[in-house]
Amino acid sequence: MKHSKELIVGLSLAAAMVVFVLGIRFLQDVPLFRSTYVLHTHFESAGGLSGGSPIRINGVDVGAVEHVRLDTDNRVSVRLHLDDNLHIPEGSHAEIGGISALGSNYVIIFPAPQGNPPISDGGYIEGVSAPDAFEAVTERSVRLTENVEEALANANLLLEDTGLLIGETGADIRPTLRALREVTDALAQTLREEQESVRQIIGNVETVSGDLARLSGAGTDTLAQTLHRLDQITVHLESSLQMLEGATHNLDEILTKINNGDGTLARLLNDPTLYIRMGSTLGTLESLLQDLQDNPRKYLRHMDIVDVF
Amino acid sequence: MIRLEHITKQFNNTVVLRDVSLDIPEGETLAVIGRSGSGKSVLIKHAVGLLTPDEGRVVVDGANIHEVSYKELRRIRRKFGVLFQGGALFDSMSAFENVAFPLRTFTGKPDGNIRSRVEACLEMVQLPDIGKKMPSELSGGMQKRVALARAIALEPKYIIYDEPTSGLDPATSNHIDELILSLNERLRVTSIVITHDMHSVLAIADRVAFIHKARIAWSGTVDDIHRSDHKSLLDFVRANEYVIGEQTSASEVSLHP
Amino acid sequence: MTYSLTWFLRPFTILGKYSLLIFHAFVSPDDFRTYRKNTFNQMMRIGVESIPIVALAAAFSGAVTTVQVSYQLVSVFLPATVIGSVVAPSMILELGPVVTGFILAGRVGARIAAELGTMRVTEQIDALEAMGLNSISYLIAPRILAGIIMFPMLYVAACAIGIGGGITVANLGGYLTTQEFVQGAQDFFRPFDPYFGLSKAFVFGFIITSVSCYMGYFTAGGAEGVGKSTTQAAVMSCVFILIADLVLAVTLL
Ligand SMILES: Nc1ncnc2c1ncn2[C@@H]1O[C@H](COP(=O)(O)OP(=O)(O)OP(=O)(O)O)[C@@H](O)[C@H]1O
Ligand SMILES: [Mg+2]
Repeated sequence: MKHSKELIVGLSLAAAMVVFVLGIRFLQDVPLFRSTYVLHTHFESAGGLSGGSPIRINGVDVGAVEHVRLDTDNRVSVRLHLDDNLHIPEGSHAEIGGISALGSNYVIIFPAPQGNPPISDGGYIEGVSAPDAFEAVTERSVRLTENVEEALANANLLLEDTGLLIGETGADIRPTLRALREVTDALAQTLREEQESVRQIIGNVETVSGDLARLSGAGTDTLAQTLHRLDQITVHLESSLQMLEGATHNLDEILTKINNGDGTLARLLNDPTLYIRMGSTLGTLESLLQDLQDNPRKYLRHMDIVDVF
Repeated sequence: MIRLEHITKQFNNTVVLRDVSLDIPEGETLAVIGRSGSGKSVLIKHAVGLLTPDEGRVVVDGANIHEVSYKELRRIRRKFGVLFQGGALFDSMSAFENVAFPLRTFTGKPDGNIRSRVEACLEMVQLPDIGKKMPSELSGGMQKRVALARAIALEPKYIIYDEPTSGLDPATSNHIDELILSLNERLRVTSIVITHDMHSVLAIADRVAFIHKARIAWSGTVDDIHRSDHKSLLDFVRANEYVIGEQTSASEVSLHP
Repeated sequence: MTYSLTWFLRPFTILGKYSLLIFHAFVSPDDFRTYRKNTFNQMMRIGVESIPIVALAAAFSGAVTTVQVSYQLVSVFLPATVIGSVVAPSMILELGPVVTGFILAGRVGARIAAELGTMRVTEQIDALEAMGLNSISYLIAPRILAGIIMFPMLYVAACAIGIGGGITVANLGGYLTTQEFVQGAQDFFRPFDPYFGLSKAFVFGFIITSVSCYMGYFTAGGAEGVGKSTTQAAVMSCVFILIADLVLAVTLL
């Protein structure tokens, strides 16, 4: 009884220590008491992976990353804690999944056939560096923008040529008109396609914003970078569309010329398909423009939620 | 040997002590008397270095206590037993623990020895059965006596008593006086006693210092007091003696200015 | 002129006095046996006896945070697990240490200041000194030691109970299930966070005990002075906790 005070103090300190250690293990998603199955791996780039990131096989959480270190040769050394009852066969490999810009990364293990002997505890599993999902999205959207630009540049060139041809007296207007119609067709086609692509980009961005929503304060600067990049893409698209608008304006001018021109050209007016096409092209352009101008704002507004953290 | 040399002390521009010098030779008992608020408690706090003088110095056994290291100062202080005016019992400890405290802290004695010493000390102040009580459960006079027991527990070489008998009934007062006297004689303790009680002064003191108007207005042996013609001293002593001498005149004293 | 100068230098005088007090508390001690006993006594009072109130405050702050986060972050974009992702780190990083600190600034800080203040005005500190003890280290070292040892313990308790409170309310209020909460907490858990919280608790423990000791030890002016020191101790502890909280966040995060 004489030591009871010391005993109580000692017990509470010991209890706190146990809770602290187990609490960290629990929140790291490492089994509290059982020992774990430890594997090492190397990646070219950690891509935002950090201690505590989950490990998944076919989408199921099977453990957590213990730590991520930089080796002397600048390769990334990663230590994995896996559930004890797991056996990863030789020949399996690990990849980094998730979106690094958002910090929600995880390790995916692609197991080799079960027939292979299991990798022993503390063993090595090959790490394959796959391109980051988000980077891929960005890359694709850049490629799409380039496509739009190219198509538009072509269209512009052709339209100029058309103007030139129409301006020449006595030239046969028929092939020119045919070409013009083809171009307009192509343009409309491209726009339809690209509108779909742009929608896709925006769709992707929206999924990403779903991920963003689950973000805590981590990777705020990478997030800022990403937003910046997305913004640039939007600006790009907008300027491309301005070019498109210019092109349509050209077309409009040509039409006015035709309108005021001689009788041969007046026949053009009888071709209603051209009008309809042009009208619809303009409409599409306008709505696409509207869509693009509105949508980025919309998704950016949703991203404000992230500020809460 | 305690020497106070030319001590001057002021608080907030009021001079409480001005050029006060006192010598207390080994084995002697000095009584310090003076009106309330004259600076007696302040004086004895200088003797153990609880207050630092504005001017002057305090020398205990040849060492200037304001110049030695803090460690050395504490070593010197351990030669002292101090009874504070308010008792200053540790209110988180029982009476027994209060008395045992210096013994436990400064002697490596086993618990049994400490227990018997504490009991003996409490016996000396006529409080044998209050060991378990907390200071708040004791009367003012009892607290004072427990504090006295604590001050003498280590049988110090120097004992400072700040009004040891104030607030006590005459019989207990007499007993405390006898205790102080016996300590002085038996252990040859050097002591400073602050008191308003001339009866005590006459009973225990070898010499007397009278503090008046921030100075030692008079000092001398007990016998010298009556031969003195110092007016303030005589006023002080006579006011006291009526009470001691003739119980009946106590009320008359307060009537006459 | 001289008045305004003294007024300007006052904070530095106080800082110096405070630093010296703490310095003296840990140099030239007397006897380790007495300190050991005192330290355990203080650990009981500061630490163990504070567990109930800290637990209560932590449970409620965890619960309230959960409810408010659910209310604020209701959105189609956000999965329910986000609540766990917010509540657990808030508890570990900020609420755990600060709530514990505030509660104990009142409970422990005021108590220390009142105790030492009373000892000062009733000459008990003088009595210790007159006996030849180093009153500063005798009184202050055990309290500061107990503070810096027991606060981290209370912090751990506060976090565990706070998160527990959050989970309980999440279930009872139908905001999200235990699994979702835990999933959310685990998804964005950074192992550094608890260590950061622990450092905060350590610093707050030191602040509360040392500031209160300073206030108590230099009390003057009788019962009124004790009252003043007690209030000052609680208030100044809170103020310095807030300052330290910011400084730690800026320097360590
Ligand atoms: N710490 C202090 N701060 C300011 N003034 C003080 C302090 N201590 C004492 N004094 C003043 O010094 C004077 C002497 O006080 P002291 O306590 O020595 O009186 P005393 O002679 O012991 O009186 P009593 O017989 O009533 O105990 C008083 O006027 C008091 O106001
Ligand atoms: Mg006095």
